Amino acid sequence: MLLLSDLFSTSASRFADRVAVVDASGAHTYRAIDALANRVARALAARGVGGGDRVGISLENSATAVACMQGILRLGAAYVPLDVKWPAPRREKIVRDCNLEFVIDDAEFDAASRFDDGPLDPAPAATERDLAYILYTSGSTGAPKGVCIDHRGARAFVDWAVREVGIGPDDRLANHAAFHFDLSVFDLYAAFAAGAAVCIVPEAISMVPKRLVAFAAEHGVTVWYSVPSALALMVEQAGMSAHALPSLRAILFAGEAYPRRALARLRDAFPAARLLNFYGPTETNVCTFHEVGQVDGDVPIGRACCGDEVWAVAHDGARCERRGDEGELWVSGPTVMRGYWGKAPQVGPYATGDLVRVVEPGVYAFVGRKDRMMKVRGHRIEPAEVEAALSEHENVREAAVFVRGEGLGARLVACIVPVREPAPSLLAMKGHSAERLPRYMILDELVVVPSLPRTANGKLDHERLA
Amino acid sequence: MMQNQTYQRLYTFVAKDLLNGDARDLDENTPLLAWGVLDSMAMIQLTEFIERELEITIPTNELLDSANLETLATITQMVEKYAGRR
Repeated sequence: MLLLSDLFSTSASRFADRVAVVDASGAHTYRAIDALANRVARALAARGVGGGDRVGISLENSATAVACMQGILRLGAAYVPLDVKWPAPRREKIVRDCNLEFVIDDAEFDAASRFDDGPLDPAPAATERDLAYILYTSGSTGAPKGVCIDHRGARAFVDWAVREVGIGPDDRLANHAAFHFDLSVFDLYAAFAAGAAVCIVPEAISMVPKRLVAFAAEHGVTVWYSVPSALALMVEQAGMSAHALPSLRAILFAGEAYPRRALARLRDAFPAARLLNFYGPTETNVCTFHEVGQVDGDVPIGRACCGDEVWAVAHDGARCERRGDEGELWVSGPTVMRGYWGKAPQVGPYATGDLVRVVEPGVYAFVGRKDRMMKVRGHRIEPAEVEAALSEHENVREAAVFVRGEGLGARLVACIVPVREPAPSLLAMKGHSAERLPRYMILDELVVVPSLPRTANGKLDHERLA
Repeated sequence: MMQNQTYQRLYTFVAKDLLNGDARDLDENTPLLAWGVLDSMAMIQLTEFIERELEITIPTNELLDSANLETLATITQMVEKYAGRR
C-alpha cells in the first residue's frame, strides 16, 4: 500500500539527521520534524480527531506547517491548507464548506508541541483511497470549492515526478507556491521521497525577483518549480542564469502557458538545465508534461504521465486524432480527484474544460478555455467568484470581470454598474475586494459603465465586454 | 498629513502609474500591499522610479522589505532616510 505519509516517515528513519526543511527560522532535520509530527498527532487524537476527519492548517509556509501535515496524515485524517493572508470571510466560507473538525493556528501548534513526541500506538491505518488533502480553488458558483485528493492520487504524481526529475538525497528543492496551491505538493513530497531538503521561500521575498535569485543562490537550490510569471521576472529583472545559479539543474513550471519569447530567454540563460512544463488542473494534479529542448514554437503541454490517460474530444463528441484537431482535454487515471468536497464523487474521466490541439498523436498544446475560467499570472480565477464579491458593494448594481493582456502584462479588469453616482473609486473597490478575496483576485483596473452588454437572449455578452 | 516634496512625487507616481490616474481615496495610509496596488510588476516600477526619478539609492534588502512598502507613509519614510545621505 502506498500512502503519502510514508514518504516522510521512511526518510525520517533512513535520513534522520539530514535537513528536511529550511525555513525563515533555520534548518530542520527529518528527526526534528518527525518528532513534531508525533506531538501534533497526539494533540489532535486527544481532541478526538481520527481517521476520515479533516483538519485545517492556518500557518505560514514553514517546517511547522509541514509537521502538522504529517501529524494529520498519521491519524488517517486529511489536511486542508488555509492561507493566513486570506480575508476572514473567505476563510470562514471554507471552514464551513469543509465542516472542519479543527484548525491548527500558531496558538494551537504551541499547545500541541507540549505533547509527547513518541509515535502513536497503535497507528491508525489509512487506505490508499482515503483523502490525503483538500485544496480549495476558485469556484464557478461564486464560492471556493475543495478539490479532494486521495493518497493513491498524490502518490501517483509524486512517485512519477521523483523518477522523471531524478530527485536524490543531495537535491535542494525550492518551495515558492503557497501550500494551498498544488505546485507545493511536488516541492514538499518529492523532497521527502528522496530524503532531500526543501527550502521554503520566505513570504516577504516571494514577490521580489532579485531576492528570489539571491535566495536560490544562497541555498544552492538544484530544482526550482513555480509559475512562469515568477520565473520570467527572475530572468528578465534579476539576471537569473546558469552563471548566477550553477547548482540549478532542473527548472519546472506549471499553471499557465510560458510565453514563447520569455521561454527562449530562459533557455538561453540555462543552456544545460532541464526545463520541464507540467500541466494539470488541481483536479488532476499533473497529468501531462513536456520537456523543453530548443525553443522553436509555443511550448506544448505534452503527453500523459503519472499513469494517466488523456485524450481530446471535439464538438461532435469524436476523439481528436489528426494533427491540428482541436477539442476538450479529458483525463482518466490515478491522479484524478475523488471529487469536490460536499459534491457528488468524481466517477470516471475528468473533463478539464481546457481546449487543446493535437500536435502529434498523444501530444497536445493548450489553446484556451471552454468556459470563462481565467488565468492571471498563473493563478486560476473563476470570474463568478470575483463578480459575486464586487456585487456585495453597496454601490454596485452588477459587475463583470475579464482579463486584458497576457503573461506578465495580464490585468484583471472589472466593469461595474453603480447604483448611483459618484461610482466607487478603483481604490474603494480594491479595499472592498481585499476584505473578501485572496490578493491575486483583486481587480487591477476599474471600468464604470451604465449597463453591461447583453446578448439578444439577455445573457452577459463576454465578447463585447472585452 | 505628509506634505513634503518626496511624498508629493511618490503620491503622483502611485496615482498616475499604478492607479491609472484614479487617485480618489488615495492617502498616506492606503494599504498598498494588502490591496494589491503594489504587486511584483508595480514594485519593479516603484524601485525604478525611486532610483531614476528621485535619484536615491537604497540597499535592495531594505528597498524591497515589505514593511517599508505598506503605505505611501512608510515608502516616504524609507526614501527620506536615504535622501539625506546624498
